[in-house]
Amino acid sequence: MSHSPAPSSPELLLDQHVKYIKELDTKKNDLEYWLTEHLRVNGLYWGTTALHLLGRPEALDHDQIVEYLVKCQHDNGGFGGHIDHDPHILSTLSAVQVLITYDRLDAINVDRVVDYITSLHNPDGTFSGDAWGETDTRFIFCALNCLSLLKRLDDKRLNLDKTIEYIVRCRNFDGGFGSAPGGESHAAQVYVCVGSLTILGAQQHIDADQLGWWLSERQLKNGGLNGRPEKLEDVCYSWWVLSSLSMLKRVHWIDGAKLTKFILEAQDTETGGISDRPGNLPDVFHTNFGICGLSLLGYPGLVVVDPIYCMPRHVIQRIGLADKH
Amino acid sequence: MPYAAYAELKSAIRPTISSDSTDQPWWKDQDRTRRMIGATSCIMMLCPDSFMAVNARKQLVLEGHLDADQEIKYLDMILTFPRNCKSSGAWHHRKWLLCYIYKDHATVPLDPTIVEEQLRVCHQAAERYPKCYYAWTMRHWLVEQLGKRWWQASTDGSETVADGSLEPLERELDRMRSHMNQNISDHSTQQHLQQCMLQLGGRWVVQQAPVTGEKDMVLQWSRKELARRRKRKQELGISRGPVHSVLQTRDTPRKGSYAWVVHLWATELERIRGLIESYPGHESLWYHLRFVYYGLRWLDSETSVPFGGGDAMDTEVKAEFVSQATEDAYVQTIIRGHETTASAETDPASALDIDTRELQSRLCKHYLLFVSHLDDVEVDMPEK
Repeated sequence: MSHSPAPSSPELLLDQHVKYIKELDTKKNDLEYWLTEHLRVNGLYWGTTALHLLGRPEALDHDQIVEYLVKCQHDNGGFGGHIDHDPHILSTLSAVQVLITYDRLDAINVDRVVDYITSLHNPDGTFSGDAWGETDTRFIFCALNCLSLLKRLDDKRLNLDKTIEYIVRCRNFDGGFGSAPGGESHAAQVYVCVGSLTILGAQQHIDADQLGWWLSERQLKNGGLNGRPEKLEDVCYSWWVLSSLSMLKRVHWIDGAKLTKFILEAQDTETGGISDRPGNLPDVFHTNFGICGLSLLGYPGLVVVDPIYCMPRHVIQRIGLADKH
Repeated sequence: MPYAAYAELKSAIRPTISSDSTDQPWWKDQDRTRRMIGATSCIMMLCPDSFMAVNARKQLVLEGHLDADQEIKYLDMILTFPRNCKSSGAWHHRKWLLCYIYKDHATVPLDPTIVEEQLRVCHQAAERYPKCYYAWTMRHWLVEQLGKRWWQASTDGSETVADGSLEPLERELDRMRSHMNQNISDHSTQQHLQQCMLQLGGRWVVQQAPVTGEKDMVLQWSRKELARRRKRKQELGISRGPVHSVLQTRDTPRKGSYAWVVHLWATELERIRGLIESYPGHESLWYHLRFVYYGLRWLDSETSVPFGGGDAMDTEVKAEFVSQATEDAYVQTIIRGHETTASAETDPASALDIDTRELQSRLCKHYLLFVSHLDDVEVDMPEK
């Protein structure tokens, strides 16, 4: 498969990205399509969010999407990654985010979603990914993000003080956060921990200067960002690092112009879409987070993204959460 | 192939359409179980992140259709594919199986022999796919099992290590040191080595979790707490010697004692400084130095031990193990080393290229910023 990197003074290839996203579901001859079947609902969230930020919300069929998501919900309230796939907190969050973005929460049973998420809450404050018990700070963020969007953070079954305590235990000497206590600081885990503490109004547990500095050190000479020391740059860190800096009010600690150039160079001029770094194949995950990163950097013509929820800001305003953080 | 496997899996999970059968789960039906085993074996090899497949494997183990030990061996094979090393599903499945086999692991830590066997698998994964986050997370959990018995003795204040429970941890630390020498840019290796040091450090490096006041086996260093400790140490008039004198003492400190932990940290300081000089321009090494420096500042500010390290009575000696001044001096030697090799006419091969020299200079500067930031915080009233 051929792919061409963008020219040296690139611009955002808006129409091509819209076309790329619209054609995603047609690639049924690709092995990759089937290997990622369990991520279909997540893929829908990435595609939907990207299209909304590009200002083309009508590019996908809303009714078809809602109908599909309803089929992914199980009796226990959780959503699977695709029809017939087991429920999991990752796909539950994605489903709820898409439904709220399209303002179609009425299509599902919200109480059951809350029941599902609270059933995953553990005595130590963590949330499991599903009934089989895997814990990771990512799942804490999924739970809090989802419950916050559904305005159900005050559910009596939750002990969120314990959750804050647990996240603090995941804080490392460098100011960063890992997936569990003692886990290596990683930009994606930083995003979920900073996001969780922000949603819970507990940012005082973050050493903002120290963490901001660690995050700013993720920027490499080529303008791209990595997730850990001495790792390669990757477009998705344009989101994890930048949104964390945004929540800490320190976006200016990164060279925005260099990062913008890096993201734009990772576009595929032939097929549309954005890849992890210039010259590689695009995918919807990196397309979404590249666009989210550009939006946070104030790229002209893009809809503003919310740094906590990773959804269009006007949607967060519509549901009344924008002033809380 | 994955399309066919998924089709088989989904049809096996769905209840059979039969007028007189009740809706019984698939694991109670021999034919459906057999089909599930086949379909999930295929999907696990290609995509262990598929929850549907990996959950079904757990159900098969619970119902006795698959043997847990055999399943662990099957995972060993799955993890030989580098792509699968990255799968959080595969590593969690492994942990779930170990917890299933060793059901009382929550109260009785895993036997060191079993832990070391599992550490070998993590080590192979580290060589196959360096910096694989989930393999290292698993490895941290295994090392916690080794540390648990020792931690209990340490936090209770008793430091007798009668049964050699420290030795497996010390072996893992040695393994990490060797691995680090061959994987200089691997930040994950260094971070795991830090975990080993913390487990060995016991109560001298753990801090009471400020949020709950409970004794916690988790590192909770913060700049504010460090500043408070240093202020208390100053008020008590406690003095130390320079850290290199710790390495020169003739006494062999008792394992687990404050002096032994300081010795551990001092050895690591010497080792990392040497590596930075031998391998210039590696950010990971400088980050490890930050950890070691922070740890020595932490140990230095320990107020329950009035002396420690070197000749504390010599008033000309600095009253701290390490400080901004010691690190300034160290960085100066690095920079002077550049200047010497830059002007070397006898052996041009030993001169650093410009890019590496610039990178090393930048890393020096960032390190000194880190060191000064560590002290740059206001000391508030103790948090509740």
